[in-house]
Amino acid sequence: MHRPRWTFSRWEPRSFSIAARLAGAVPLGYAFISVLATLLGAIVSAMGVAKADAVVLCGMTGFVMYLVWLIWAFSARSVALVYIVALVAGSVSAGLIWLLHMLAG
Amino acid sequence: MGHSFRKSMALLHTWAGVILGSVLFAIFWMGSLSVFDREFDRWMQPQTRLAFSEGPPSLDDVVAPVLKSVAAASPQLLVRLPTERVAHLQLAYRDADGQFVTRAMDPRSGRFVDDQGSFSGTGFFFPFHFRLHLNWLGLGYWLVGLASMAMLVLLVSGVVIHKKVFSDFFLFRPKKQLQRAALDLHNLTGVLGLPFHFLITLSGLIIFMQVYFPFAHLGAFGVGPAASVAFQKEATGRYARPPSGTPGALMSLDALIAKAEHIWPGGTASLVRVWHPGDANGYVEVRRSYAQDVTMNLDQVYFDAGTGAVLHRFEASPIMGIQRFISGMHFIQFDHWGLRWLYFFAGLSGCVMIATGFLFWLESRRASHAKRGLAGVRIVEALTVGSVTGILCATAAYLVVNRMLPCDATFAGQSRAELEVWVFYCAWLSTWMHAMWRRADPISQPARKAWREQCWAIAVLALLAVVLNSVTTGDHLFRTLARGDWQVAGVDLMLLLCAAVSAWAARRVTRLSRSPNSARRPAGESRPAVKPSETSHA
Repeated sequence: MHRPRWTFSRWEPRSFSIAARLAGAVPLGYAFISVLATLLGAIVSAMGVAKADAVVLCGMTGFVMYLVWLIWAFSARSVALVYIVALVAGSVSAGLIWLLHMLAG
Repeated sequence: MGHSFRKSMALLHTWAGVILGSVLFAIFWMGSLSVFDREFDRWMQPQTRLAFSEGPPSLDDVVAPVLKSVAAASPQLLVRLPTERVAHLQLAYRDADGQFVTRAMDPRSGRFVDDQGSFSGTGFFFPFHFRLHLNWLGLGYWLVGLASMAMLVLLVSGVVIHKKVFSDFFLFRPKKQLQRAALDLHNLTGVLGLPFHFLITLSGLIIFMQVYFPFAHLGAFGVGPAASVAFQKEATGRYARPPSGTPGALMSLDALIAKAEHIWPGGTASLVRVWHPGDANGYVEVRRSYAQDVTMNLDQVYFDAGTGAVLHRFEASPIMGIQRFISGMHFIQFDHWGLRWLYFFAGLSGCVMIATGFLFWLESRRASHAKRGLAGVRIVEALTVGSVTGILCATAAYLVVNRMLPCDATFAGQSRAELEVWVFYCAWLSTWMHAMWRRADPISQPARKAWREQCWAIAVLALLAVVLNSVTTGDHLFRTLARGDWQVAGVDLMLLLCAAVSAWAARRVTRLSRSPNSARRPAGESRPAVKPSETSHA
C-alpha cells in the first residue's frame, strides 16, 4: 500500500514530520478548540441565551468541533497549514473574547 | 505525493488503534462491568444481600438516632435511599475522630452492616472506567479523554476506509483464516454497534465537560474564582448557609421528604442531606430520584431544619437539562433491565471490536515483520494478550480474592479493600509477563500458547469464583434463584457463562494450533486435495 508522505517540508526526516503533525493536531488543536468553545459561549450568551446554558451548549459542541479538527489535521496535505490555522484562528478567537469583554464593560 | 484522504484515514486508524487500543479495551471492559456495578457490590459484599423493603424506609426511625450517636459531631449527614437495585441505606458522615465514613444500613432494622472491606463494582470497576485509578494530577481523566477522542476518530476513520460498508455488514467468515475472520468480526461489531460506540463515547466526554473544557465559562462569566462559582451555581444549583453556633431542633425527615415529593410532580426522593445538624441554622437538602427518567435531573429543595420552610429550590435549565440527558444516556441509572442488558452486550461488542482490531493488525503484519526482523508484531502481540485476556484474568482474580480474604484482613498497612486491588494489579502484571514468556517464536505464527493458557485461567478463575461464593456465603445458585435474588444469581450465571466461553475459546485455539490448515499459506498456493481428519491427530 502506498503510504502517504506526511512531510513538514521535503527536506525534513519523516519522524519529525509525524511528531510535528501530532503536536499540532492534538495539544495545539485542543488549545485552539478550547478557546473557540469559550468564544462561542460568550457569543451565544451575548445573543440572549442564559449564560450557564450558553457555556454548556458550546462546551458540548467543543468535542464535536475537536473531532472535526482532528480528522482535518491528520489529513491536511501540509503540516504547516495545521499550525497556521490553529495559531491564527486561536489568536483571533482569544482576541474576540477580550473584545467582547471590553464591549460588555 | 499520492496523498489521499482515505489513505491518511487508514494510517490514522491503524496508529490510533495500536497505540490507544489497550486503554480503550480497559475502558470498554470496565464500563461493561460497571453496567452491573451494584450487582457486583451485592455479590462482593455478602452482608448487603438484604431483602428489598416494600415501601420507603422511615428515616425518623432509623436515621435520626445516628445523628445522636456516631454522627453527633458531623457537620453533615448524607443519606441515600434504597433503590430498585440497592436494598440498603447508604450513610456518609464524619465520625468522632473527624474521619469521613460511608456505611450501609439495613432500612428495616436500622442496624449498620459491617464494613465489608471491598471497593467492589461502584468503588473499583466504575472509577477504573473513567479515570483508570490514576489520580496524580488527574492523569487518568486526561488519558481517558485522549482515548475517547481517539475512539471518535477511530470510528470516523473506520467508516471512511470502509469501501463496502453494507456488504461487509452481512459478512462473517469464522472458518476462514484468522486474519479474514478477525477483520470480518471487527467490521461487524464496528458497523452494527456504530451508533452505540459513537454515542457512548461522546456522551462520556460530555459528562466531564467541565474537566475537559475548564475555561469554557471565561467568555460568558469572566475570569476569577467568583465567575467560576457563579457558573457552578447557575448550572448545577447551590445553596449554603453557615452554622450559627446556637443549638436548634431538627424536624421530621420523613415529613420533609413528603413535602419535597409534593413539590415535584410525580417525583420521589433519592437523597437527603442534613447540613449542620443540631444547629439553629441547620437545613435539609432533598434531591429527586432519576430512576424513572433518562435525564439525571438536578431537582433539589432545601428546607429549614427547624421549621421546614422552603429555603431554596432548583431545577436544571433547558440546555443543562440536555447535558444531563446525554449524561443519563451514558450513566444508565434508570430502572430498565432490558436496556441495561442491551448496554452490557453493546459494551462487550466494543471490547470484541477492539480485540479483533488488534488481531487483524497482528495477522496482517505477521509475515512481513517476521521477514524483516521487526519487533512490532512481537511487542504488540504481548500487549494485546495482556490487554485482552490479561485484564479479564485480573478481573476474575479480583472476584476470587474477594471471596478468599477474611473480613479483617490487613497486610503492610493496606486495608482489605486495598489488598484486593493489589491482587488485581499483580494478576494483571503477571499476565503481561506470561504473555512475554509464552510469546510466539518465531513470530510467523500467533502466540497460541499465551492465548490458550490465559483463556483457561479465566475459565478456571471464573468457575472458582462461583464455587467460592457458594462455599463462603452459602448462597449457591439454587438458593439465590429460589429467593428471587437475581442480582447475585445473575453474577454467578454470567461467571459460569464466561467460564464456558473462555474454555471454548481455549479449545478453539488448541484445535487451530493442531490443524495443519492453521499455517498461513502464501497467496497462490493451493489447498491440499484431501482434508486431513481430526482423528489423525494425537
